[in-house]
Amino acid sequence: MARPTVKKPVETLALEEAFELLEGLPVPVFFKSRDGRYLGVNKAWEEMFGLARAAFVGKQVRDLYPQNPEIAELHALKDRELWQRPGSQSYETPIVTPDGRRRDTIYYKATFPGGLVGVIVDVTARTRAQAALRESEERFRSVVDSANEGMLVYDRNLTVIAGNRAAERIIGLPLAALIGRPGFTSQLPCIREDGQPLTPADRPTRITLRTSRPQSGVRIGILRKEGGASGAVQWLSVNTAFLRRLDETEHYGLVSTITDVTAQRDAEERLRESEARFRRTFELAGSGMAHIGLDRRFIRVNRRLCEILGYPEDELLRLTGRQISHPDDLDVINDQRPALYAGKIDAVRLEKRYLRKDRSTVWVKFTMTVERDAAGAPLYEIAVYDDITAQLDAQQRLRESEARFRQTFELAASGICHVVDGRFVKVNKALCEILGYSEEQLLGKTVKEVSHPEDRDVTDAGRMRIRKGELDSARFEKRYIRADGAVVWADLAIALVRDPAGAPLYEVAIFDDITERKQQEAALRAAHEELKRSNAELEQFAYVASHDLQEPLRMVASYTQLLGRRYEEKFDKDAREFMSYIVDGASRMKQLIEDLLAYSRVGTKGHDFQPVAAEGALRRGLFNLRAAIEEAGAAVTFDSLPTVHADEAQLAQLFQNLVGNALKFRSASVPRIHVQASEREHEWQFEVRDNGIGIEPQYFERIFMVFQRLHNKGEYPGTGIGLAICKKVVERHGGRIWVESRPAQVPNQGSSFYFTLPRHKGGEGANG
Amino acid sequence: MVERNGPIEILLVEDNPGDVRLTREALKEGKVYSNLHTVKDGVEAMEFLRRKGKYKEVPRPDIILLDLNLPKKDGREVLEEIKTDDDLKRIPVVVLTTSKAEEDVLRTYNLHANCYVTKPVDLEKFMVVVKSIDIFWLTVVTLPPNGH
Repeated sequence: MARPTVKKPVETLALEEAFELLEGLPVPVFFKSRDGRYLGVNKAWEEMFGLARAAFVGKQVRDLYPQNPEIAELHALKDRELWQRPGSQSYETPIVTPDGRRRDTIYYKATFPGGLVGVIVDVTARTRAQAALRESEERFRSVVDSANEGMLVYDRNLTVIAGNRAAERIIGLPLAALIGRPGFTSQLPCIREDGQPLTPADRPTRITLRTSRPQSGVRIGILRKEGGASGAVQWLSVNTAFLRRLDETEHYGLVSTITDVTAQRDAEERLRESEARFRRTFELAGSGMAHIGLDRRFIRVNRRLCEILGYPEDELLRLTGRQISHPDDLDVINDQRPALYAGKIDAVRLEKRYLRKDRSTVWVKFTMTVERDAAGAPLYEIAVYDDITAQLDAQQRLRESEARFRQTFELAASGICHVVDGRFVKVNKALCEILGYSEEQLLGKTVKEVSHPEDRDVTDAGRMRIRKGELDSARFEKRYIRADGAVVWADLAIALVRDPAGAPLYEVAIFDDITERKQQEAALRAAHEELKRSNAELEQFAYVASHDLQEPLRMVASYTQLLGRRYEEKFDKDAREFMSYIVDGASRMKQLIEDLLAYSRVGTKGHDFQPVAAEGALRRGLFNLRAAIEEAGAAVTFDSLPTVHADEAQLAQLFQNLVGNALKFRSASVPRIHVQASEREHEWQFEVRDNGIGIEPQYFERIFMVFQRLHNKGEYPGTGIGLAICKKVVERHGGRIWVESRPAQVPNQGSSFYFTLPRHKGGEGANG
Repeated sequence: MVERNGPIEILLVEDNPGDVRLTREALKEGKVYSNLHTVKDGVEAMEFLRRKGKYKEVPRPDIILLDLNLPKKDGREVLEEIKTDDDLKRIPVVVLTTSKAEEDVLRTYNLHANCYVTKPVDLEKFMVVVKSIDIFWLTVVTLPPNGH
């Protein structure tokens, strides 16, 4: 090794010794003079730069980096700085050795009198390791930062010391706001999974420390106000773990990872609700529902299905559908199952019968689909059952009712038709017969076309009222013209058929041919009119005849008497006797005629009915009889009598005749006559009771006939018109008259004459 | 008392000769001196009363006996004409009816006959009736004052 040139021996020595020492160092060392010339280098320097010291001593640093002047410049600059402030300096710099190798170095330099000494520490290996570490850390950070999970790193005191971007995003706070604080839960309103506010003790980091156990899946909700939904909660799932160094058991911090599970939680919530909904729906469905296993057994049945099939749930779950199917419907589902499983049909839909536990049959509308897994393999069957027994029964009844109706419609003796817009749209056989048209002819026509011209519009008003809903139906009598031109009378009932909404659909009319009845009625009316006329004529005749008969009668009687008066002395005894018969006959005839007149006058000359106090009428009758009553010494009594609707004169005549009759046919005892009245349901019943001779029952009818007498004129005078007049008066008033008497059984009991008068207006008077 | 000279003039309106004769006979037996004029129907009766045609010279009757059933113009019409004629309405009219029934009918017409008499079948009764006309007449003539 060449010795550097030194001036002072001590110093030189020391330097030489120092060189000796430095020569052996594995670290490149160099010495430079004040003017920057290399004074010497050690072996390690030679190795580093690949240069022989002998060749380089005396050279400068620019000679060391001919290819890289910027490196030489840096060192020269540093040297100048050092020389400006003598002492020591160090700096780090990459260099490139003459052979082109790149080294990372640290230069330590120090001045000494006359020069400087420098030491080069090759830190290339260390720098590379550091770079690798930095790279690894950056990779790690970028992974951490790009992670979807938020991460927060805590120190032992649970103060956040680091976090990633996901944590910022999830928590919604910048890292700057998190780092140095005890986590996000201290800064945001948080709740526990159960909805209660989150206390510091609930924080997962605290729990981790307290229990020394990492936590996982701790749910924390952050109450978010944004969006106006004050109740909106952001749900987080938090995991924690201890941070430990390799080979250390003591942790130096915690890390927590944070996941936003709001969506998941909402989905879970929805799923829970959906499941609950499904469960409720399944249980409460109006239809029977079942899940059926691939072994055909019921897996799950709802209440309604148990009701439909009549089995308790536990029994049903041990059965297959086939076991409870109606024998005739055993395989109707099996027939379609392959197609369902093969996906050729989306569902099995059919109607079939099941036998209930009580062996009754139930008709079910059955729908079945199959549930498959993601791969499409069948999992189980879903079946829906609707009880349509009642519906089928109703349909059956409807069919029967329709058949019955059709039969009735066709076979009815009455003509029936449906009419729309005045036109026949449906007619039955009977109507065709009544109107004399064929069905085809009739269906083209309007009802008015076949109506009698005068009756065309008689139903219009009634039908309008039906249409307005004022009437349900209406009846008419109306004439139609048959196909052969004959007039036919119909009794017609019309109703309107409406749809469920109330809109008119069609009119139904039922015709009964009443032509014959109408003819009979007309004939009867004519006969009645004729009878009335002939009766009136007869009464008039009786009246006129009896009236006109009196004239000649008077002539006969008067002149016979005049003859007797003037010429009596010239007559012999026979002539006088004959003349007496003429006079007597004429006189009796006169009485008969008078009576007949009185009788006919009851019908022809009566007055209108008025309210009449019966007692007044009785008193009038008794007044007319006062002489006869006095003469007989009779006791005539009466109870209180009602007011009736009558012809007062005739009522007085009635009482007079009856009381007069009682006086006339008295017995040996003193006549006692009593008049009373009693109230019946629709009429008053009067009684005139006497203690006279009575009447044998065989004559009860006869005594009321004109000129019928039971006694000869010697005993009881009279023509026998009195009771006939009574009968006529009572009948004119709409009442009845009769007698009760039992002289044979009960002597001296006399007779009771009864008559009735209607309590309401009745008889002839009702017309007046 | 109204003084009178001569017989009472009676007009009998009657178409039945038998009744006319009977009336005449009855009056003969009566106390009053009368002069009986007869006409056979209502038309004649009115001509007599109004002194028309052949009746120009007849006296005004003191009393009229009027049968109801007359040809041409019946008793009701005659009665109505008399009672609505100011010259005639004061002459007493006795309506002779055949029956009680007829009388009732007549009353319903509300005509003012002075008296209704039903012709009796019995001669004796007829005599009584005519006598009662006598009495009626005497009553009328004793009426005060200015009796016609």
